Amino acid sequence: MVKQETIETVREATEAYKYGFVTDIESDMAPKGLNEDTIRFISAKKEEPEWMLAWRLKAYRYWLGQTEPTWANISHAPIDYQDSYYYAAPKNPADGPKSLDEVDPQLIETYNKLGIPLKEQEILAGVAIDAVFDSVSVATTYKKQLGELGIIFCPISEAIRNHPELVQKYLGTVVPYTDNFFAALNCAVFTDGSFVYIPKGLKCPMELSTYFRINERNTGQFERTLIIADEGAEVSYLEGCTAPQRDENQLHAAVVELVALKGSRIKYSTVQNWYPGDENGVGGIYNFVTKRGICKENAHISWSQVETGSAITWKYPSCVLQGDGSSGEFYSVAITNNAQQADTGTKMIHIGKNTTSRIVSKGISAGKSNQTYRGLVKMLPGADGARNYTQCDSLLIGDRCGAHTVPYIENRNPAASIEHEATTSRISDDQLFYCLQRGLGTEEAIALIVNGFCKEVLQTLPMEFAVEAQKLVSVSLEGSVG
Amino acid sequence: MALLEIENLHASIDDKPILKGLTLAVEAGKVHAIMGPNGSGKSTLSAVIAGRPGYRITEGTIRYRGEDITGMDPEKRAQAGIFLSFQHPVEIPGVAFTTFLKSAINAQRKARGEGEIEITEFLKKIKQAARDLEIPDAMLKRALNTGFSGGEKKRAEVLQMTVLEPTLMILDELDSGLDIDALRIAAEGVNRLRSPERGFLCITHYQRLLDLIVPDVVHILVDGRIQRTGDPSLALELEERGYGDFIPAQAGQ
Amino acid sequence: MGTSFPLRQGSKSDMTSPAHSSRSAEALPPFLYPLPADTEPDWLKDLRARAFDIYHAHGLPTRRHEAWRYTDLSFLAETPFTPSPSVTLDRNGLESAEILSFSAPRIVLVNGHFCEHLSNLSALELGISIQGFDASPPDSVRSALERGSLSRALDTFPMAALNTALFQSGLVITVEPGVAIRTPIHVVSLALSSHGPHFSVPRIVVHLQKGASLSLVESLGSLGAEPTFANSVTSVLLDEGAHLSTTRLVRERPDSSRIETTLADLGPDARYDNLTLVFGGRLVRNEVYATLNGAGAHAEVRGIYGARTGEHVDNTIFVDHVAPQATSGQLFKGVLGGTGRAVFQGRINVGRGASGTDGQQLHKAMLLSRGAEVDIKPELYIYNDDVACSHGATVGELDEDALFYLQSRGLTREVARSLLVEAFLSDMLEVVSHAPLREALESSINTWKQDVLSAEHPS
Repeated sequence: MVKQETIETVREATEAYKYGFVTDIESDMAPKGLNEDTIRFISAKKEEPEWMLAWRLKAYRYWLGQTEPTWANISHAPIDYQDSYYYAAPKNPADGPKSLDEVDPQLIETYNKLGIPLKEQEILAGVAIDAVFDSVSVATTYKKQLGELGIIFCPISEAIRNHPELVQKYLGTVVPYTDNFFAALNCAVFTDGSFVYIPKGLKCPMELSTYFRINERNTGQFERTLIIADEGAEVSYLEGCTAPQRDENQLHAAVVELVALKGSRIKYSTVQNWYPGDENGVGGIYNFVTKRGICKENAHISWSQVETGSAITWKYPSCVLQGDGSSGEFYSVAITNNAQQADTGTKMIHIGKNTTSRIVSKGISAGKSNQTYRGLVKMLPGADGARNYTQCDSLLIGDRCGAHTVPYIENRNPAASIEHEATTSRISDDQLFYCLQRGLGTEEAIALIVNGFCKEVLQTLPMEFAVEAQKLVSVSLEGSVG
Repeated sequence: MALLEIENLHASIDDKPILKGLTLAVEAGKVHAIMGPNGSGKSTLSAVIAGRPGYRITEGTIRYRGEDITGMDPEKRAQAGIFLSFQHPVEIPGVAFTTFLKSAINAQRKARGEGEIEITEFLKKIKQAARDLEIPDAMLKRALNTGFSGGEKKRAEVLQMTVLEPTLMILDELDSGLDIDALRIAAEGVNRLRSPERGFLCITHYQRLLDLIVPDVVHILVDGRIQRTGDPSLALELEERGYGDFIPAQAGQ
Repeated sequence: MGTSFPLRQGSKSDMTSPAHSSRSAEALPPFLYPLPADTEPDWLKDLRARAFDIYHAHGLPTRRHEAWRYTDLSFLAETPFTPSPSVTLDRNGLESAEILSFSAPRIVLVNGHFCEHLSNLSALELGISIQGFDASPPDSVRSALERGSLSRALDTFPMAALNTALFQSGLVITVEPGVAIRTPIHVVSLALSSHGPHFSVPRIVVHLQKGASLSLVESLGSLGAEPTFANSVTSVLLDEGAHLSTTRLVRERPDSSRIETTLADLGPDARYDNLTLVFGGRLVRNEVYATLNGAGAHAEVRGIYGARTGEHVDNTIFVDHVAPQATSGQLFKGVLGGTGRAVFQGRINVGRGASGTDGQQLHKAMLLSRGAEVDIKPELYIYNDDVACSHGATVGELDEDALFYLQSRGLTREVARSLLVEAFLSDMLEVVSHAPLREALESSINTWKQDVLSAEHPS
């Protein structure tokens, strides 16, 4: 739970998109375009074992036979997959940084600008950070301290080299390369991302965090995250994203896999603030993301997301509730303004007995934006005693936006129960006038009311993120009225 | 110069005239009571003073501290020190009472060119006011007016009024939906705010509120106009005789 | 877009049956024959040509089509259906169909053909006209069929397009301006298999002129030893202030199927009430599209359904708010036994101009047994901020606590179950004001309920 007053004390003024700067760093890039040589190049750069390259090539060949999905409520010009760079790394002394002292000071400066101090002594106590800059993980903090507990928190490229047994056992088991078009692409070309392993019975003593940043022009970012909570383990993981302001669209196709073994708990929080494009819809990130977790017996996965950025968001963090007594949660705030498009939601697949899931989605559409909640709740024949509760609320601000709700509910078990509620409304004139009468300006009043509308979701976020998210809610809605 | 001067005010909703040439002045340091039957225009009066959208002023002016505020934005009026205690305070789910109040204070301070309130000062103020109004701490943490009882809502209005320190207070049927104990607590809260700089407009149906907030001047509002103005005994007279005697001959036809 | 079949250029002999069509017999999707005569008026030929192209390009819907992801029609294509011949039925035949029994003027259609000898129109009130047609429809249906919203709907509803391309029989009901018809009109529409499996494409057109009102009751079902497939469409045109109430009972035989599409256009302050009960049939899809084209219009689409082993019931509702200040409600309740399957897809669309919209939707399903399955897709598409829209859905089983309570008062488990199912459905018939009709509906529900409960727990 976040203390409201504490948030108040750290609240500060923010400008429109303050992450829109470019860092001038010399990059090491793969040739433009995508073919098997690109993949071999990436794999070689990462010094990957043969099995990894073979898997990537299988994924690539599968991807070649696929077409982009068209069912989402989004539209964009065709993506030219050959007009992008699939690997861009800041140039570094041959073997990459051994410690933060070896990291390019300009990179450290970039992360400082983003509000992510990498110097361990500057870090908020209790948060370990892995920072991914374009295609490469540049620094992972607190690695040593975590390592002493048996926790592995490192770039996935490093895990492939140093912990092949874990990676090989779990990579692609939750999201196989055949899952969908963008997941297949990611499997083929992913460059970095984070890897987490929490050993049996251990509660990770600090929040683990990754910040992703796209810096280079025309680069796609394809990060891959794999989190494994062994039996009885617990971890809370935070993910933040930003990108510079650019006129062209950039592709981001990530895959996140969570493996929650028996009795474990994983909490995964995202604040997604990729560059959303300008008010006319020029530029911005295309964010096509596949996130899924599998819960074994009595395990628990909780997804919390605040989605305010990206020109297009296509994202459905899901839970496969395989083990008896397992549970999944999805808490989402999505805000679209200007010409943004978001089609986001979740899937809760109930396989085991007495599995439970809870979905709370708050969508706010403003400007000319369009937003769709798309969700699936599926009760399989074995899911006796399973329960789902879903609440989807949409708020429209202004008369040029759209808010859509498309839940799919499939029940094949009479002993499972499903409750689904959805509402669509706008901020009432009475609420607005009440705030104005107390001296608040219209934008401030709307931000306050919208924050209240989202509260149930925002309070599921860890402290640092909740503060940032509240500010983002206000900033994202700037210019939506008047 | 009176604090509030309303001159020949005509206001309508959806082209239906409600106020039909209302004239009224409220001086600093005074409590004015407005009494009137249902549909006489009491709530419209409070709404147009506060600048609620949806009302059309077709004639006349509203002046506050000598300045014409007839077309001013509602938040500007609030920032200038006009406070409306709502007859039906609005529920805003998810927004904690203290967050709301602090945002309001800071918005008003900002408009005056002042910095944000110190968190400790704010907490001290709000806790003192809450104690005086017998509002439990737990209620301060709840979402604004959401799930509050009628009495809690009204006490929360007086709490806001106490902390925001306005100059002109409009109390729109403070007594509606309150039992006698809650009404006494709320009225005491209002009385504590009485001072030579402040003016009050106390809108009500009933004498019982005026036993607790004793007015200096009583106005009878019928059919969109002030029909009579007098001292507090006028309210007692009204209690005995009803509104019948105050209805002008041409009204009701 | 697929290739378009040159309907307008073709000669009649090309058109009547794919067997005679030398050029594209292979390419034709199922059921797209026999085509009507080439002598129809141009407006109708144009409409049919467009409908033909739509269905031809789309084909028989498959589960790959989003609107059909939960309803599989492939078995229809695999059954050797032939177009239903113009057959007649005697009074005994009619008695054997499970139709609503209550006293009202009655029109009987068999495979879409009007059967005068089974109909009883002697008690018709003044101001209503009921006209059966065989071959082409009368010109009076032109305004209804060409109405923009109803014509555009063909793009979304391929089965309605198929019907539009082919229909050659049916019924036209018109009520004159300002006329309120007091007694309900009972339309019985039956699919009959006489020589092997037959498909039919009946069309009903209902046009209520300004301020008119009518209560229409429909009994839909099938007769005969072989499978039938009725792909039927009702076009409803409601002028300003008109009020149509449709109460419909669908009881198909276990091997018969029906896709019943209603396309309704509501003018200003018009009101459309549709209550559809579906009990029985291999596959029944009740598809209602109501477009609220006039300010202040109201559509209330409701349904009760049951499905048992071997049965599939699909209610797909699409309410399109185009005009401002219009309201709509959707309320569906269903009970599933055995391995019965049900689908509910309910969509509310609120267009840019539809300010002041109130659109509500609720679907509740009760699963009585393991093996039953329900798939629900309630959708809201909203492009206007001045709205209050909601949808709700619940799925569950009989409340064990309530069962126990009733049993503790001495009721047997079977009686207790029956009572709870009845309680679950009971409020749905409150909207039926005509007492004899309500009783007839109650009795249909009861019959079904006893069947399904005894199948669950054979005593």
